[in-house]
Amino acid sequence: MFLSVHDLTKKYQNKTVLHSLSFDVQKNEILVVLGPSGCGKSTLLSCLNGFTKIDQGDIKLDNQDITEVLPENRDITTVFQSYNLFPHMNVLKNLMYGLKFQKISHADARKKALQMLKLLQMEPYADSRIQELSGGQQQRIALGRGLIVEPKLLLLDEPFSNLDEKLRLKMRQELRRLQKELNMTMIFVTHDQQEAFAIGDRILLMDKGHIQQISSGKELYTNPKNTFVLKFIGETNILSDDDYVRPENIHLTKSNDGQGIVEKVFFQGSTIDYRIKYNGQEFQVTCLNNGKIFAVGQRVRVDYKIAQLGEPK
Amino acid sequence: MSKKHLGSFIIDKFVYLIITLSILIFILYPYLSIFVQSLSETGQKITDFWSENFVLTQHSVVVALITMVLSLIFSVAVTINFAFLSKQKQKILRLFLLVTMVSPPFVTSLAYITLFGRRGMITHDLLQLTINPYGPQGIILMQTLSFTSLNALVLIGLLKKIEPSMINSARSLGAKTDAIIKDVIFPLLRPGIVVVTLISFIRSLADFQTSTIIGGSFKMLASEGYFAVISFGDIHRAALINLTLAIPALIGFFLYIKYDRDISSVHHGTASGELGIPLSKKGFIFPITAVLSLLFYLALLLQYGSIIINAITVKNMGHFQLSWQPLIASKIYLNDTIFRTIIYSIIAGLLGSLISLFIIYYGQVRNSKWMRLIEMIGTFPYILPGTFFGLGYLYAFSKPPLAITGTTAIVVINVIFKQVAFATKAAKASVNQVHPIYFQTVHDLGGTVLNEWNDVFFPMTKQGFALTFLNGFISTMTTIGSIIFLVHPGQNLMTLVMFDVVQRGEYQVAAVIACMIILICVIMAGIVFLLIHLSERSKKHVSLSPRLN
Repeated sequence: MFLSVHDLTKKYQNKTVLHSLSFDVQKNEILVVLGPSGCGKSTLLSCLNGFTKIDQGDIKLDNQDITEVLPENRDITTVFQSYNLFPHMNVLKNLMYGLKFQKISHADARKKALQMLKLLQMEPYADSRIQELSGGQQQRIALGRGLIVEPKLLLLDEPFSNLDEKLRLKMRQELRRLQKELNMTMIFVTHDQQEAFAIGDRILLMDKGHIQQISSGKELYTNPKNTFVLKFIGETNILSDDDYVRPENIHLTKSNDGQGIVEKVFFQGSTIDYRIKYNGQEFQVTCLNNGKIFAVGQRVRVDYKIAQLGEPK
Repeated sequence: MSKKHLGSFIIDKFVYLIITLSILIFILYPYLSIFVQSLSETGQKITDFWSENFVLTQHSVVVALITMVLSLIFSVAVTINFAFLSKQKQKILRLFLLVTMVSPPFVTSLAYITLFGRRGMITHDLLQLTINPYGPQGIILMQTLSFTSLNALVLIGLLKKIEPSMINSARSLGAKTDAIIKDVIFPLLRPGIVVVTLISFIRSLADFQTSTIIGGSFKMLASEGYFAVISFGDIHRAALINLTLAIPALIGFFLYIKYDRDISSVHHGTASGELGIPLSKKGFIFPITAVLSLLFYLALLLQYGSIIINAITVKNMGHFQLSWQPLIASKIYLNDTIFRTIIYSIIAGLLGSLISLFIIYYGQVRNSKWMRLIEMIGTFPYILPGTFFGLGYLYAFSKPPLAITGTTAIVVINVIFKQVAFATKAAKASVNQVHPIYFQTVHDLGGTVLNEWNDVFFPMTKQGFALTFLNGFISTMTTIGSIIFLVHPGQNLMTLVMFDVVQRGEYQVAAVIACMIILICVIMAGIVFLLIHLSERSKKHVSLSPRLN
């Protein structure tokens, strides 16, 4: 395994914030660490890049134990949420900064930085001051500054959270493009499910310092291992301890002797959400908007197949 | 217009007029007076003065340059060294540095004489030497010591504002300790370094106390200016000297305005107020800063140690014994001076803060360009020598229509308006935290300008007001330059008495007064912070109460 984390535990005073975490990351993979606020995902990142000392466990990168190695000596680079571009350096100097610590001539470093600017599609901004860039441009330079040193592992701590929705979507695609072109291994922290699905090869879902599930996005959605995963990822109708049904897996048919009654209709554009009363229980149902909309009070036939936690569908 | 609104309108205009007039009369007019009158009155011409007293200027500039470089080296070393220390150690050392803020400016010279003078504790008692400590070396060393603390406090303030993740980013890219200091910390401190360098140079030029006390036969512009008034009553000569000193200060003033703006633009993003983690103690820079800092802290420790020892002991058969003697001896010099000094400082703190808050209110909130000009005029006393301000008062207010020299009023007015320069800066920081929407809301709901002041402006800048007051109080408690020519016998203030007894060689009495000044400032700081803390607590209580119901 390229990155191997084993039994990683972190305590603050007497409170354990990361409980014996073990996981692997493969070369050229993007692992997304997903979870609610305060679940420990940023602490995990801080343990990986070495800014936080761990209390137990070990971290191996490319078969080397890096548990005790200082952040500046780890072949890991971090792109922080607040960009942290140096305000006293221009764009090119910011990009070249990490190359200073590698045995590479100034001319080569400059060449590399110009190439990176091209890759980032920001060539006209080489001499711009950081303060002159927009949020999205600053984010791209921060990303480029991390990528240019070609670390074995690039960590990204909610890097797109300060951007607006449209820019965020664009940056996700950019990141995937850059990762493919440069063959990078990355760990990306986010609390945004859509972002996790769009970026990650695999997703590590955390809660309260425990790993709840590591798998692909599809697997996480279709085969949640426990109630937390089920509730956190997407919407659901829980039928009993283990049984559930996703809103889009319920089929409604207009029927005057149907057992279900439409109680509320929420128009969403491409889809329509309904609240249905059926067998004494309320169900959330999502249907494609194909022009037929059930009215409130309409009787419907309700068909679904029960799914079970921890069992492939 | 309703009666309520008309009343508010009149009061608003009245306050605006009073603020404008007071700054023009009590800050601009004295400066203009000294410029116009000293250059036009009969007596020596300024150019003749320069050619005849070139050596004085040379001495002052050389001392100022060396002091500037040394205090810069030490203050940068102390600041960078802070980056290696744990939060707790930083806190303790910062408090130690803060003591300098509440000390009279020439306390270092007093310590110097008691330690290294002819009967000094170190040179005479410990090393059995009888050396002459007076001269430029003492001036340079003592100025360096007192400027280093003040410079370091400014730079440490900047250091704390550097985003921790900025440093972590550099580390994550492979930067080791020395590279972080060189590439991140130092460039971000640079505007601050320029400002403190400039201020050190100007302060050194203007400092007449150190050279008067320990300069000996070494003559400098500032001390000559002081002697010209005190010994010879030659105000014209003093004015020429102060005009000469004002030239570099004025150049510095414009540079200061430029770089001071840079300081505020250095930080963007969210400053957490703490360094990410202390830097690892590796590389070349750490040992250098550690040694320089240690030297500096030792000197500071020696300085305050000697002051305290002198204030509470007497020497008996070569041994120090605890005694009330110095305190009792100081009684005849002080009389009602302590009470008067405290009252003046309270008045200066309160009115200085109030005027400053109004200046910032009109300049920032009401966006008055004229008031921003007034604010700039108000900053003159910050950068121009204190004695220059004092002499300006002598020129401006010794004849009708405003003949107030010799009164208590002139001293009080002087200390109030001397505060405005610094207080407006503090007030600005406080006012900037109040969102403009609050002011609009008052008017939107039918309120007047008076409601704006009463319900939004003053309640929301309360904490800023308290801190500005404290600053004004401390600054008046420790001030000397601007009032030394204005105070008449019987109206003495503590720093002036202290300066007087040092010159008489009554070092123990001076040490007692120094300790008293420090103690009074610390007690006032304690009261102000306690009040702020209590008001914060009651605020928390109010915000919790709905939930309790």
